[in-house]
Amino acid sequence: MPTASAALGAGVHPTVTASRRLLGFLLAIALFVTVERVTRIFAGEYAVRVLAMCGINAMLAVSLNLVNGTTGQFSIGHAGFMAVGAYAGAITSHLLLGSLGHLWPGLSLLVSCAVAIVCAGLAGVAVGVPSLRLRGDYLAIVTLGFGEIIRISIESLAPLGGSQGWPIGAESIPATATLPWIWGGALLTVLVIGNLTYSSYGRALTAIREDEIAAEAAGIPTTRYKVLAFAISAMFTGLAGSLYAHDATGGQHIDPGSFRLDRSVDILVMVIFGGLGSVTGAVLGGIVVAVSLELLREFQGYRLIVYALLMIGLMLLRPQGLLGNRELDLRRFLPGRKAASA
Amino acid sequence: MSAALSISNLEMHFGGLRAVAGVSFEVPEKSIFGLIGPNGAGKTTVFNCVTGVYAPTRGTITFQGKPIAGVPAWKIADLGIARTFQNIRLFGQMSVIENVLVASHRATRASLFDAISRTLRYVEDDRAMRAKAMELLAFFGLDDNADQVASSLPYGDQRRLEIARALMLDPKVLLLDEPAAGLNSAEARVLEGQIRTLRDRFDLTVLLVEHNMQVVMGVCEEIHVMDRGETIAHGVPSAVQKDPKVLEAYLGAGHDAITAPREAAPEQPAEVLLEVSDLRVAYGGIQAVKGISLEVRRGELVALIGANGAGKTTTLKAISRMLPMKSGVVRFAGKDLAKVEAHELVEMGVAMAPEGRAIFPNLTVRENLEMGAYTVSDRGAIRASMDEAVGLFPRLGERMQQLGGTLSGGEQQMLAIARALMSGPKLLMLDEPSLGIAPVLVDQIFEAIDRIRRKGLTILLVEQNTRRALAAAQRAYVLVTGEVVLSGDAATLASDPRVQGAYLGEGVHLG
Repeated sequence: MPTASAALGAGVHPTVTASRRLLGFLLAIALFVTVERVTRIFAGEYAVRVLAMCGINAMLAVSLNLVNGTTGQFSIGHAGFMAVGAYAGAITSHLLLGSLGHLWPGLSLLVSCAVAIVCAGLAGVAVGVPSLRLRGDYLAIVTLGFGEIIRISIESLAPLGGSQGWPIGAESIPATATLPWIWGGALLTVLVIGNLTYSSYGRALTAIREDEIAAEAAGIPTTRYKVLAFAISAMFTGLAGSLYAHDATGGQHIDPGSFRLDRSVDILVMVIFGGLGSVTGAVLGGIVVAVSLELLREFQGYRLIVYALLMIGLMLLRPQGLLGNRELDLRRFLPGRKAASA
Repeated sequence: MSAALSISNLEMHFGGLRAVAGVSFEVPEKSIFGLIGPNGAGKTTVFNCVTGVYAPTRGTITFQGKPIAGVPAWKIADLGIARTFQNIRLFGQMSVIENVLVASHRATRASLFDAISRTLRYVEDDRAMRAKAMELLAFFGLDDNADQVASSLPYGDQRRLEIARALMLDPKVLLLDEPAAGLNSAEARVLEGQIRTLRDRFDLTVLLVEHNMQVVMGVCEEIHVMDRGETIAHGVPSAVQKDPKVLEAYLGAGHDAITAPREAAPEQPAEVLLEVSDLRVAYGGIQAVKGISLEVRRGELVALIGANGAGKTTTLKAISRMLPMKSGVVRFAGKDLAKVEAHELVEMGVAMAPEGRAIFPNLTVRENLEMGAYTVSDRGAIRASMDEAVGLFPRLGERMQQLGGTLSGGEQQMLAIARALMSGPKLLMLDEPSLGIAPVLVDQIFEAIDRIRRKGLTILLVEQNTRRALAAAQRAYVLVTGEVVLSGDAATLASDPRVQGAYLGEGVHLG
């Protein structure tokens, strides 16, 4: 992706000091808080919820894109990692309810997300190590099986509510993940995975996608790198899961049924919609899927049929996805400055 | 002089096939060493064992005193053995400079954390690697193409880019698998000089697999000759050249250039079967073909010749509807092909044996041929064409049940031509049938082409081996950077000094 490297840019942006970066992140959070308030006032609680779904979707899609788009592997079990993150996060904050959760709910959510990231990452390594040695379709089959194993395991665990689900709210899973939290998580995901994609590590991953034998001959330990990509992807999918479990914008409960194969397929659709291999495309794909599913509520029972037709239509008109493998470069729209990727 | 690389009793078996059956040799430090032999000799298999693509069945490979047989490929690259591939393996969708940068990844000091958080260390490292990559690209005359997508480079440049990528590893030993394939003789001469310069400038040991004897004899200091997995000779070029075993195995008995005896031109010129007028084709912003007009009459063999990047293959691909044309008209048997799709063309009677052969590797020879007859429904006709194909290439007859991918390069080319003939075409288009193939097989292929033509088939031949092409053809067009600069009777062109000029003035990159 030659044209894309400039967008998030290795060698384009000079390095930024840590303090300025932190400042930028805090400013972004402040912006997100404003967006939440303004949306709530002018468009109501429902609109805030849709924005939150966009954020969760973007996280899921950007994570999956690292594996399916950049590295050229094929996972259809990412709902499993989302479930691991959701339940690991939920259990952690449930355990912290009496202590940290009472004193400082935000910190409790941070800890829960960290635990979710670690657990999902470990699950990613556990699935990736044996299956990524093999090529092509094997990974798809293994991840498919993994997703189902996770879901069925949770269903049979009574303390987690089994197939009934686990309510979000007081005394169960604290509803702490407001819109700024969710968008903050999405921003972090985009920054980390975006920077990774357009670094020498990402270049190695893309090389694996393009020609595995040539990548080996260029000194890239391909199996190790595939596992690395898979683990990082699982980590951020876990983060999305944890934020989803703490959803304060109207989430009712988490249940194993929300982590079925359809969820994995949904994430895949977002990635393909946006354009395989494009980070900003994945974000866009996540937003398009969330928003169009909401807009299609008018069609009621026919909603999914219309959605499927939309999908087919887009694939016929733009088989490469909305952005192809390019990145959306905002600088392209700035006057007087020629974007490096143009 | 000590050995940079030593191989002893190397064996590699694939199922029952012993591709390499006990080969031993030492490559002296800082030498340019040739590994040669006819197709199917096992040269590339030796390369694949040395570079870790295969773990050898038996035997040892020692590099800098360490055994490396069975070590994973990336670790061998890391240790300092870099390579190129016979069938060019670039990262097609990545830019030229990124292709080179991939090979610098192991050398970066920046950790994953540095990369994600874009630390000063990462940025400095990245800058240094880019500068180094640009230097290498400049060495190969590719610096102006740094941001271009690698797959859009012409063939010769893709070969050079592969070498640049290999050098980015800072190797001690460089393995080149057929670097001269697809280069014309002027370019090959430049390559010879470049290989020597590379060795001196980058302090390398070069191990070379090559079919182009001009290059091998011109550049190698020591040569190891293999045939059917075994060693048949070893020594300096002048000795190997005279070795009767080598001559027999490599060049075949009675090696003479085939020159088709020419019939007098018919009184009445035949009707025009293929007519191309003012064809223009562009890749992105780059004009590859800038207004070519040509015609092929029924029963003729017309050659399209020119240096790499001249637009020969692009022209063929546009005619066969595999590339969209920007403007111009292509007519076949009077019909405008603008609205015709590639697969419909086969039914109309146009068949193509593409560059790089493109056979189906996981189908047997028989199944490959049957695929060629996809548009034919008459079983009897299929059987007849199959017999004809075997008559043309007896080697295929011996290998009917073998998988296409296990054939040697020359046999694959024969299969590609035979497959194209299966549809019973009126026009046969051949793209570089001699590319990367041992001379003895090239002879057989050109003999077959001559026989096909005598049966009355019309042929459009793209070939970088000018001498062969002009010997086989009746008429020819000479292309330079996307334009026809000369055309006419093949025999006349063969003695026209301007043809050579067209080559020397074009597509040559000086190191």
